[in-house]
Amino acid sequence: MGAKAKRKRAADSMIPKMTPKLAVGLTIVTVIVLFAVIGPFLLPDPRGISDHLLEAPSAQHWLGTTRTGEDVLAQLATACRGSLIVGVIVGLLAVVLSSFFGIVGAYIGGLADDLFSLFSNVMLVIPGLPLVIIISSYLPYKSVWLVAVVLAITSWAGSARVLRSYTLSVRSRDYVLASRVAGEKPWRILAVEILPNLLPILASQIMQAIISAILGEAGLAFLGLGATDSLTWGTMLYYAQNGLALKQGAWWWFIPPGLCLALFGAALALINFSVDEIINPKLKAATKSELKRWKLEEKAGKAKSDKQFGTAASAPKLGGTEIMTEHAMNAAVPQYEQNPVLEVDDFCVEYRAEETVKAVNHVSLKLGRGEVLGLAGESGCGKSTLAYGINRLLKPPAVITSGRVVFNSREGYPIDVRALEGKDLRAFRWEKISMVFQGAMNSLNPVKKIKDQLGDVFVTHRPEMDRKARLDKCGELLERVGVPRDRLNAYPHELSGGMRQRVMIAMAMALDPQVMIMDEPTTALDVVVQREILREITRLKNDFGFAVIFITHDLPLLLEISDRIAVMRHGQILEMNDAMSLYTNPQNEYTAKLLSSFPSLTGDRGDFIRQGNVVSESTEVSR
Amino acid sequence: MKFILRKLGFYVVALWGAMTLNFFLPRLMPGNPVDQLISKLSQHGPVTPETRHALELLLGADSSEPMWKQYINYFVSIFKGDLGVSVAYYPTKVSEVIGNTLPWTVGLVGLATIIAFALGIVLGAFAGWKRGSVIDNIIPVLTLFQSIPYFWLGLILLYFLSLKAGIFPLFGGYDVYTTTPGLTWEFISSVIYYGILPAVTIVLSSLGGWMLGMRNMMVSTLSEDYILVAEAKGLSPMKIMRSYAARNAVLPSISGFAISLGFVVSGSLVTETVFSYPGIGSALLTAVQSNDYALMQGIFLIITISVLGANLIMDLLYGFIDPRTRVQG
Repeated sequence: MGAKAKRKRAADSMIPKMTPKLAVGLTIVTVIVLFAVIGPFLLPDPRGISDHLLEAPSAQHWLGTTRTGEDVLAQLATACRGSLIVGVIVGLLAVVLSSFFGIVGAYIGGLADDLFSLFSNVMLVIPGLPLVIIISSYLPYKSVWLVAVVLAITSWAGSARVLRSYTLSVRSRDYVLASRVAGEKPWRILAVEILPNLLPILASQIMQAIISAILGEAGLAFLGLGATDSLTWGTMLYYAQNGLALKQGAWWWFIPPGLCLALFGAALALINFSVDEIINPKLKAATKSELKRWKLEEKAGKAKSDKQFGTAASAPKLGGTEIMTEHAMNAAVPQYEQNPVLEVDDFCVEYRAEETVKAVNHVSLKLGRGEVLGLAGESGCGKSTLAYGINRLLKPPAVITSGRVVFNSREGYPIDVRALEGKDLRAFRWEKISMVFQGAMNSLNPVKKIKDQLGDVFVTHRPEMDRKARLDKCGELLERVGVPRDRLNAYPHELSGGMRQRVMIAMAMALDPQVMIMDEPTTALDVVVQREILREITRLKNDFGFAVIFITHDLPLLLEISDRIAVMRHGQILEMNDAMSLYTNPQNEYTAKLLSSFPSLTGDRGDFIRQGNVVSESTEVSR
Repeated sequence: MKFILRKLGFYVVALWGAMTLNFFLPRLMPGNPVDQLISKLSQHGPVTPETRHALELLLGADSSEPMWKQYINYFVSIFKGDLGVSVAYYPTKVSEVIGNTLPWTVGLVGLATIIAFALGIVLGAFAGWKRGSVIDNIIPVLTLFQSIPYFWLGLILLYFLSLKAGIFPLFGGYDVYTTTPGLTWEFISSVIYYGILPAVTIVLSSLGGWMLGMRNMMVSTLSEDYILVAEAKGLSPMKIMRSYAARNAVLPSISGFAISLGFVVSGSLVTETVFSYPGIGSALLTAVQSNDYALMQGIFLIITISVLGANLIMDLLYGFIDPRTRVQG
């Protein structure tokens, strides 16, 4: 993709997609704005009194008249204009103020930021309306501008806080840091690098500021403190209230202005929904109807593969008693063929986004009991998708379109993993196959103690255990991975990265699973810690005999710890062989390329790190 | 401990800021509010020099004392609880007016806010958990309520439920004809009956905001890694929702309480005037209508202190339920 296309794409992502919500919002805003602009020219004088006093809507007065005989519709048009003017002025002023205190403060940092944010926080906790009321009651004559300024001064703080935290996150992005290092002028960085990224959030803040300004002005005017001689939705309500419109049942007088206000506010809120989804793309994740479609697609995929492999009956669900035929032990047939713990046949996963992507394409593999199978490949090759798919953890738009996953439990019965649903599936997870996720991932809930996160595995899977037994077991698990027992009471942030990953490994071992899937478990850790963790995994595997699917892009690492290695690319397994043969005699061109891409310590590409004799030493580690 | 001290420090600064603002406002404004007040007071009878002095302290005037001395005296008198004399309720003291009206407002707004907050969090959690469900789809409707001014919603409810249907009373805080204030069931039930409509107004108007905030946080939290881990662990959906997703998603709602509370309080004050509720909002309106600056300033101070207090409680609570803040301080 060219730089131009990239930029265009980035710009596209800044423009909200047309959704029903957005369309309705824009339509209402347009109608009200047009009414405010054109209405006053077409309608009679809003202050023109007549002898039609407090009349209900009629052909002559579409929205009836006030107690002094003014036409409500004419008043409404002028009031729309008045309110919108106040809203826009305050909205812009408040955003200027909040940008100054939020963006500039966060960008400069240091003392300025501290003072600015202290100031905005103090302004934030002082309730705005009472302050506005006091200020305006001291002022005998108030122009619209004066009211707007007062409203702006009392309402910018919340948005300053939002902008500040957003700027802080943009400021530390790589490209901003890069331009700083390159010596660009601060104002240029602010204008060119930072502001464009803040545009969606600024837009959303302006809209919120407009809503709250119109609401604030309405409240003020309703108390009789609006701008002198102005006509807004709020002053209309003030006159309606004082003219006892309510008690006389003159609904046509007090309902229209409030309704306009509500509609306008709601319309801006609807537009904001779309803007929010740009700011936080997570918000547009799958909706219920999409989930339903996804479930149907999953079912269709399941039905198809049932046809292919025979129905689920041939491989009963968890708790079934049918025992697979025992393989006669035969030294010539490798262990993973004789007694596989996990069999994956013809497994396919598609991402059904705008275009369908085949993430996993007809993958078959067998995992032997106690074996370490390495899964290598570049990012995006589908190795994680395969692993999550085996444990049925895929989320829309990923759909398993075909294939069979059979888990041969050591109790002697097979489980058709794709046939599991609901409770059965939950009972299967972690009990049979547990997972260790990337070290960099926030796998631990930051606000729960370690003991609770370890413990809820037992609460779910071993409900008969009492509190004390649970705690004992959790402590034992921690010690097993070399973490002191007293860390049970710690929160994740109190542990180092390596410790956290150890805790995750302890958690994965909690139920004595037969298979552990490790998805880049050491990627984010530094080399020394990485070593320790790998040694730990190998030791535990030897002690407890679980099989491991080890996923990483780090082929040299896999060569050290794996029995067999599968190399994946574009969703397919290109080559699967035992580690030694794969290293010494790669069959696939891509494998060879991958192997040669790791530099060696001596500087020659192609023979990375160790020569052949060292490999045998390192395979010893895994034995 | 350090965390609590920092928080306390911030609120002391905020309080000082509000009080200073309160001190300078009347002094910066055009005109001389003291003279206006004195002339009004003198209609009720002779004004003693002490009263005049107290007012000058509060509102500032061409007093012989330098500004810094006025500033100190102002703080001294506030800490003594002396907020001056109300004109509108002459000769009642401002502190007394506030004492009579504040409980009504704290009861009404406090209760309504707690209900709206709790309801919003629970509904928002469900809406975020099941995207596109019925609850999720009523959120746009609720944001419509949010863009309705509180007082207008109050007017509408009054019109339909009180005037047309006659289910609820038209105004007041309790039935002044048949009950007398006191700890009797009659009085309390009357207070509840009269409070329902104003409370419903506040809940309806503020619910959408809490709900939308919680729902969006819930959606963001659901894509966190620890949710996936919890799922891989085989935890039941209810457990994941309660103790992983909602538990974490509620945190920003609590830390963002400050932003919303000021808004809710402002809205509620105007709402009170619609229902002629005997709270501090109605007193504020009376003060405004009769240019009772002393009362206005006193009410502003008291509202600010209440809001600061509520925020402080929420902040301390936040430190309690989010262990990370305790470390970072």
